[in-house]
Amino acid sequence: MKKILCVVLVTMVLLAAPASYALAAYNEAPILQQRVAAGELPPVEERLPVNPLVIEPFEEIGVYGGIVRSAHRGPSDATGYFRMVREPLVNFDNMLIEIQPNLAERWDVSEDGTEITFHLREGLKWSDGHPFTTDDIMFWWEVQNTREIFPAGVGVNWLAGGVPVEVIQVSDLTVTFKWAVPYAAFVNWLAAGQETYLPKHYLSQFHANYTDVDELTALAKDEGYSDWGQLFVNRSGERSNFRALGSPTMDAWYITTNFDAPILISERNPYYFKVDTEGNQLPYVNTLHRILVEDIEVMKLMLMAGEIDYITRNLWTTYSDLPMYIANQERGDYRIINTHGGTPGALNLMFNANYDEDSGIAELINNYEFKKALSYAIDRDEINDVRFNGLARSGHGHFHYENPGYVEEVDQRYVDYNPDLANQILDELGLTQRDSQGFRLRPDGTGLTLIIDGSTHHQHHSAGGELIKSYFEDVGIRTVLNVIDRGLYEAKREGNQSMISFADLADPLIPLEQTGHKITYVMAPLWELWFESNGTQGVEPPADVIRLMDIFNTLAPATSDVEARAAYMQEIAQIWGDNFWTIGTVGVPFNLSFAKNNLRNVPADGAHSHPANPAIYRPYQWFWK
Amino acid sequence: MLRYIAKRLLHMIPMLILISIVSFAIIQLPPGSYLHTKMAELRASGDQISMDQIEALRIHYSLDQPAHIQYINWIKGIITEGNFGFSFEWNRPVKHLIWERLALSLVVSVSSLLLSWVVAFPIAIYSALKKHTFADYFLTFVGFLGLSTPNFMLALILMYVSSVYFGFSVGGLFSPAYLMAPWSLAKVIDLLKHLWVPMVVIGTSGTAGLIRVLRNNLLDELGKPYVVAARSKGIGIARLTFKYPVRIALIPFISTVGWQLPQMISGEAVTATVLSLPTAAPLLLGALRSQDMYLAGSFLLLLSSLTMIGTLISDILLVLVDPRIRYE
Amino acid sequence: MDPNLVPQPELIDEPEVLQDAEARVFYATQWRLMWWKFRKHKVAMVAFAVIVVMYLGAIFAPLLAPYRADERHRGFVYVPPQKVRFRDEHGFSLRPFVYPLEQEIDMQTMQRKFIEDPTTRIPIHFFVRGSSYKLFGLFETNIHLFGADGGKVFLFGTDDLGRDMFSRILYGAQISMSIGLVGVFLSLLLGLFFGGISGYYGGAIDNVIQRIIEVLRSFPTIPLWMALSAALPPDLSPIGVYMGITIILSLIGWTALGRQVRGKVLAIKNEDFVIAARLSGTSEPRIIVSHLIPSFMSHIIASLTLAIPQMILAETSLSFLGIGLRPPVVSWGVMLQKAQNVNTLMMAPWLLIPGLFVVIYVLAFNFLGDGLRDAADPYGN
Repeated sequence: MKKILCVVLVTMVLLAAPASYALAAYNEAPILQQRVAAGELPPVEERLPVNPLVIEPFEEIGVYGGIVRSAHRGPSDATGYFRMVREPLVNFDNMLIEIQPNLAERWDVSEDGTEITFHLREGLKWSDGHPFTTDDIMFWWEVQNTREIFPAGVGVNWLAGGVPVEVIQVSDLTVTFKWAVPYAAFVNWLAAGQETYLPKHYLSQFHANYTDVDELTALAKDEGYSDWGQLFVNRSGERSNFRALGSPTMDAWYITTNFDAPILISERNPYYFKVDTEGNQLPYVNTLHRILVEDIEVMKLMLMAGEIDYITRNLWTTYSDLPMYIANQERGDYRIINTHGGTPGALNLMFNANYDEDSGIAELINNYEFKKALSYAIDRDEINDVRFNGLARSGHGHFHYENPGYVEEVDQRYVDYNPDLANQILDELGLTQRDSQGFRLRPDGTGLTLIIDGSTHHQHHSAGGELIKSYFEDVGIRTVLNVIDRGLYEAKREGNQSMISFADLADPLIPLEQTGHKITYVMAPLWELWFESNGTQGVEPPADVIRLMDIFNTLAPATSDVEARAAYMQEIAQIWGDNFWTIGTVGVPFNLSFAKNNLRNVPADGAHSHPANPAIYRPYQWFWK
Repeated sequence: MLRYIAKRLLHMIPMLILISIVSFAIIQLPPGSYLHTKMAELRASGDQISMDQIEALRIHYSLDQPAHIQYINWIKGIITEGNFGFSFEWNRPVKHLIWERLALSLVVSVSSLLLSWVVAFPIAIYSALKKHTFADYFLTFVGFLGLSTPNFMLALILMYVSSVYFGFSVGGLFSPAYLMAPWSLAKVIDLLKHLWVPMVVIGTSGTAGLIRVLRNNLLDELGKPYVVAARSKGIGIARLTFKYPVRIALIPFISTVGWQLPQMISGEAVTATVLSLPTAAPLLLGALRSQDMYLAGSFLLLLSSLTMIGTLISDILLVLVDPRIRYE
Repeated sequence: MDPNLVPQPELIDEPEVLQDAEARVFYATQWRLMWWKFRKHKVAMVAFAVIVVMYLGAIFAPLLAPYRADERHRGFVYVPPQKVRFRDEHGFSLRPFVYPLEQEIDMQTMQRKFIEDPTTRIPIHFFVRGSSYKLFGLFETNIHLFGADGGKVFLFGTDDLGRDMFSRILYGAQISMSIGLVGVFLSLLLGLFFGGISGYYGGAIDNVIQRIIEVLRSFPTIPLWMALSAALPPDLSPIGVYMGITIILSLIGWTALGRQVRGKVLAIKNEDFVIAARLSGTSEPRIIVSHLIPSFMSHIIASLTLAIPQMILAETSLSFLGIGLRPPVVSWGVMLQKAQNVNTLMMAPWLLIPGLFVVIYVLAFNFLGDGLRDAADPYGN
């Protein structure tokens, strides 16, 4: 407690001191000037916080006005909008390296790493002009703990060491997140795009802690919802995104239509808290449009017809269309921006470590040498050439090569094409008998068939799968390719019915956010269940897996030392390599995004991570030149 | 007559119950549930999701209850409150989603139907009168072409042509500029610019069937004694054809109009998906794919009930129009 | 028209014996009358020939195709259809030839280009030896109708994995064109069975069957397909999926036929010859099988002919929806599934060629069906 007091005192001193970069006068968009003149809005100085966040544009100071058009797939794609506009307490830079202030001006991590304290800017306002304070953070936490809204209680992301975080309101502007165990990486996670506040002054009217529950239930029934929890979600926006028509926001724009409208239109937030280096209040662009398009092919046509000004989501991994995008660049008047990240494991073979329908097969697919042979049987250069126009890299794709966890030797283990060696290893394993069609039999003479599941929603599972099938059959392993609807594919994997499945391993490049490795479901549903149930269900995993999860859940997040984290990451890579649970084929180390040629200040270089993009490219300082 | 209608209406009750059960069974048949789609989607977009979150969603969507309880609750909601349930995918009550879509579907379907009629009618009459001539073959060929081309292929090609060569904006029924605009002449013109593609794709696929039925019925009629007699009296072939045989040949249409709805929705589904039209079929298709059960189930229930009613109406019309048919 | 392509050819020669036309008509069997009328429908005759040629192509696919369906050619991905030439600046050659192709990838535009090298001719030889196969699953051989000597020939280009489209279309025809036949046959059995007993017995049975048909027909087909295909066991082998899909198509497709059969049975069951049979003590099933069915078989055949193309279109729709046949099975629908994106339209339009074959097949069957129907029409003269 003493420590916190200390921090608070320091904060107050800092707040009192005049910020060195404070600007004398602020400018605003012409349409806002009109509204100020008409008396609808207070002047810009009163709308901005005491100490606005000053943003240096990526290229140059912009001009006000215009619309930026994009496309989305409707309410189920709402995350795409969220990731364009979201405003966490702190934010990553566009390379995902440095954590920068945002709504919070400063933050401190206690020495033991268990307490993280954020100091909000003074005078922040919601898009309706209402002050933004730590009350809104406390309200958000209250919602997280409301069973009617989150039936299973707070999500695992808010637990550390199995205990929920404690959110402590220190003052109107200061809030502390107190963890049971050290959790220094919490700041990284927030910066990647996790919001921790909700507009209490607006949403409390739909929450039973503040409004009569019968009244709320009646209203909910009236509108076709079964309970007031559903009504709340409707008014607040989907649980992970929290954007809804009528709900105030801290974003640069607020939405003026529903997510299922033909166009999701958002207008500039007159109370936005950021200015450029010349004191112009951001954003530059007046309006965002997201056109509802259910088919991705139509999106591509729209892009190439020049009807989309910026897009990355939904098209970011359509690498095989790249020649088409280039051929139509002039017509569509756009530039193609490659961002670091991508899908290091674009067609990984996940061998189910818990497969139990056939003990013979289970033994084989858990055999290191067997998988080594299969890895040698794959002609990665052909996959790269045929499916990825030569843009991909061979490797197992555990980590992006720019990630501190990347260990080249592990990534490049057995990736050469060597069918002879593969045959030799398979022979040594005793798989020497063959059936009438030339396929290998098990040592006991029974048939041997590998079944690989893929999803119809992935571009490469079907065509890439055909290649993999032919490689395996070339070395005498009969293979069935089973590309099915993605719901079914997930159901099979979850139900431990998949023998082998394809998966795409994306590497978010944010330290400690390697979701592809944390989640073991793709290769061991019963181990996953064991972790989820705290050991009461499922199968206890081997020590290596427990160590892996320990690093992920406890050890690495606890430290804020970059070197120490890198060492942990490399240990993870080593564990994956030593166990060889999965075989990688190729991966593409970048993602695609598209911007109109005269839409400026979109950074030409940037890192890509699904949760952080494209907000880290700062759409609020894009402008039309 | 009234007794006949009452009897038919009474017959419809068990049928509707059967339909509601089949509708619900259709959405329950595929393994997995909406949660798996949701999980796949979240994972594909790089979101983390844990088992306890999934469990929470399962409880929230009442997916933890046995199927028959879900069915009874659903039906109870529809009958007592007109509540068709909740769409998981759209996060809204189903009743807010379907009607607008159905109306747009009707616009697309009716205009396509009109197009097929406009094309089929002259072709059928001409080829019935000039059987086995080159022009007969040629026109029939044109009529059949639409049927023979897979809808999604034709839709994709036309969309591509319309975007790349004519510079029309692609997808949907309106250009972005008119999407949110109030109705005006310009908006109608914009609608027509978009509507022609689905009209051609859906319309032409139905043309062949129409030509065939109309032509065969006409041929039947033209061979009958009263036509031969009239011909011998010197009545012009054109006048004669339109006076009776065409009318009688049209009767089968009345009897099939009731069945058209499900076929139109099916025909429209693929096309509308390719073209990203905001109509009912893509919504239904999407709901079926993501196992958004109440949305899909309600849609199916509505469509098939409407078809039942349509059939009844066309049967009644048939009795009224054609004195040869008795209602027994 | 080649009369050998038509069934019952022996009937054609017979009329010459008869003296005058009237006697011919009088003595002619129903089938012969149909044949005479059918012959008048010129386009139907052409369509019939086209269909026969297509089925022959499918049956002899391994012989006609220069390559196996799954044979990949490294460095020949997305090759556009190759021009077969008879002449160039070096003069005319009776033996067709192609130019060798050189792949060039423009690193700026990422475009693959295939440059023809006009200095070398690759002659096309007939009955060449290539990869071996079993014709009809019996005779092991490696003879292919044609092949390029020391080079490659891709008449319809190659697909995204460098496989010859021409060969794949031929192999795909085996699956696609048989799905229609098998599916229609199954629908026929179902239609005849349910339609027959419904029409013949009437009463409660009729009522129940009619209600079932009504319920089936009041649903759009796509959800029914989706539900049934999702209910197929996920571990089915490709052939199992093929059978499953065929059964699904016919389970939903029989209703139209069922109604037709019922209507015909209702119309015929009180005709004199049926009543006579019944009075002479013939058993009911026997009446249906040996009297009723033959009397409307001609109509049924005509309707069947029109139902076959529906099946193939349904197959492509199923593939479009991603619930039909799946690779590595080769069918036209599966091939077209790859073509359902703008990339194909812009960069590799030749992947749509299977669509052309679907169009030809469906058109041909429609004209054939119309011809048969006209021929079976008792009112026409």
